[in-house]
Amino acid sequence: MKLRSQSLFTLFYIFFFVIVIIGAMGYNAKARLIPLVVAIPCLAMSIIQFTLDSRKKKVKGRSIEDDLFHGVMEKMIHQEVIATEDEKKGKKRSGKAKPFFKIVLWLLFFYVSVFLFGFLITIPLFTILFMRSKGERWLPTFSCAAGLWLTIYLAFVVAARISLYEGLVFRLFGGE
Amino acid sequence: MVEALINGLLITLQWKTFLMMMITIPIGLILGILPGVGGKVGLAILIPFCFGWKPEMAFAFLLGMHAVVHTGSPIPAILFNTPDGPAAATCLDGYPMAQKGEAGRAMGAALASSGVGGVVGAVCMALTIPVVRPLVLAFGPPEFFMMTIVGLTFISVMSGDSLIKGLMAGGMGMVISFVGMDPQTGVVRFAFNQLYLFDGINIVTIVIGIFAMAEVIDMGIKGGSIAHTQAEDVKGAGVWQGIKDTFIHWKLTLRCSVIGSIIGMIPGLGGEAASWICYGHAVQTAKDPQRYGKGAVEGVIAPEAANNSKEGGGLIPTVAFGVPSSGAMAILLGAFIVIGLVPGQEMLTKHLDLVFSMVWVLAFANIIGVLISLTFVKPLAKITFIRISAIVPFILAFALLGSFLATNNFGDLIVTFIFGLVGYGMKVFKYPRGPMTLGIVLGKLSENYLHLSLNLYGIYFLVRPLTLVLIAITLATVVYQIHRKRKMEKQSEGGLV
Repeated sequence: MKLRSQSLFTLFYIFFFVIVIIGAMGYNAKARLIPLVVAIPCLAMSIIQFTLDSRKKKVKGRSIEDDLFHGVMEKMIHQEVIATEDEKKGKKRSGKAKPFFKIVLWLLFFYVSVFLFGFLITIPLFTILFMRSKGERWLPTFSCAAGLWLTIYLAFVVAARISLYEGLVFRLFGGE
Repeated sequence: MVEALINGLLITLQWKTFLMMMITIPIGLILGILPGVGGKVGLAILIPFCFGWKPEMAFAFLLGMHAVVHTGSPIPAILFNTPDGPAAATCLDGYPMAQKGEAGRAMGAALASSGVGGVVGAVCMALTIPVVRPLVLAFGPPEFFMMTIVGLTFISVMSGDSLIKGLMAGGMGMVISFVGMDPQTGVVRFAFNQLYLFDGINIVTIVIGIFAMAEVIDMGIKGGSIAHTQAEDVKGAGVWQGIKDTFIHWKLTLRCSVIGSIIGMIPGLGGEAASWICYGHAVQTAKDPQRYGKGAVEGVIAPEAANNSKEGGGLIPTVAFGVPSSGAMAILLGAFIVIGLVPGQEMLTKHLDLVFSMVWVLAFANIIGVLISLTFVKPLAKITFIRISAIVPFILAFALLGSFLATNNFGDLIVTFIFGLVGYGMKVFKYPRGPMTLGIVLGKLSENYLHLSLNLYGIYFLVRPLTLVLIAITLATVVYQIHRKRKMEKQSEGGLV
């Protein structure tokens, strides 16, 4: 059975609340009381939501069971409209998958770069690479990178006197 | 009380406090103009700057920005029909006015009514404090526990179309608030042997993730620019006529400001409700309602007055009871924790001067915000045409710096990234993010107050008079919500058939 992304996201909630319930069972009665009071009904609701998500897909098939379940034909038409709209949105969403992974990769690049080289190098570097990859010209790209770096340097380092994370590479070379 | 009011003014006029407010007013205006960014993202980004600051400076910094977010939001709504939440009601008449060549008049009316609304909201807040104060002083742990429960029931109000999704998000937020050492039992919960999680997850890192990071992902996917129309016709003429309109219709402006302020006080009802209710009120009370929707200036004045006045009202339950009235107020509640203040009794006794300084900041910020906006109407509107590729690095840099500075731990960045993905998923699949923030803020508080109440009074804490009143309010809220949802469902089914 192929799961829609909507259902997958609801599955994430189910997984989350299952982990919470299993984890809470290991604590004493007082410590587990409220987490269980919250997580158990939420798990039940997540399962209901998962069922609703799956049903929306089935409605398109217009099975007799669905007709009986819904009772009235009007309700059926309503559901079909919702399902069709959801399918259209689903198609749009699948088209969004590639840009989604692209932006996530950009974010991961930012993280790795911060970890290795710190904020003050990563921020202008990311700005230049990101803007150039989006087809921006060199002048606005460099202006943005310089402006952003200067704002952060003046606001955090000079005015607030915060020593920003300098990155693993500089820590190693710095001998710390 | 009068002494506290004057002290509040003196605190606000201290140069450092005033400077902090002045710094964030332009930020608030710009965030208001950018559809989809808004005050919540702004607060999430600004809160980390406030670590170690004096409370009056921190609140001037945060409220200076938040007070004027809705002053900027009607500009793209009127010019480009690109509303951002509460400004949607302004589009109904603002955009037709712009199409008729009266964009300047519409913007003038929107800005002036926003300013008046903001000041009236601040006055309403100041007038309400003496009434709220004795009530709060009568509260003990059982009443505060019930207040957190009342606050949590507003998850249903903030849930939008799907109550189940709202409750799931709220539940997830509550569970996240339980991570770390439980002060009642000394048990470390849901830390999975990770030292980073022993102290719990910082609210700032989560809020930045589910709002700012999620917006970055969304912007990165959509591309282009924020506004979807061309920047060829940004008109600025007629602004003065619009300002005059606000005062010609002064009764409507005042009525909508007061209504907005009252709606702002009701936790969970939110800004969109205020602007739509006031728009409806303007149509209802108009002699010629057929003009509305075709470019009536009153249709701009009513929602805009309500938009700004609700912020003053919204601060009252947040400051006095620790119950946030909206998503933004829930984030502001996080700021209290960051600054080291506890909302509730202490705020209205020990820190009354500070509360009144908030009132003054709201009033000053609204006036200054309107003056700045009127000066820069044209260039401000053009911000919506800046390409996403130039905006993303700015938001990302400030968001991640903000997250990292919460505890100076790389783990914060990882948490922000994870919650960024969760926040984006919530946005795409229509899971409301407000209830999650409410759950994070109120989850731990409700648990602590419950244990305190049980230790002090046993199960009999439930039969204290004020607790019974709050139980009745909780039940009434739930019943009203169920009734409203059913009514809406029936209406939509009726409309379809």
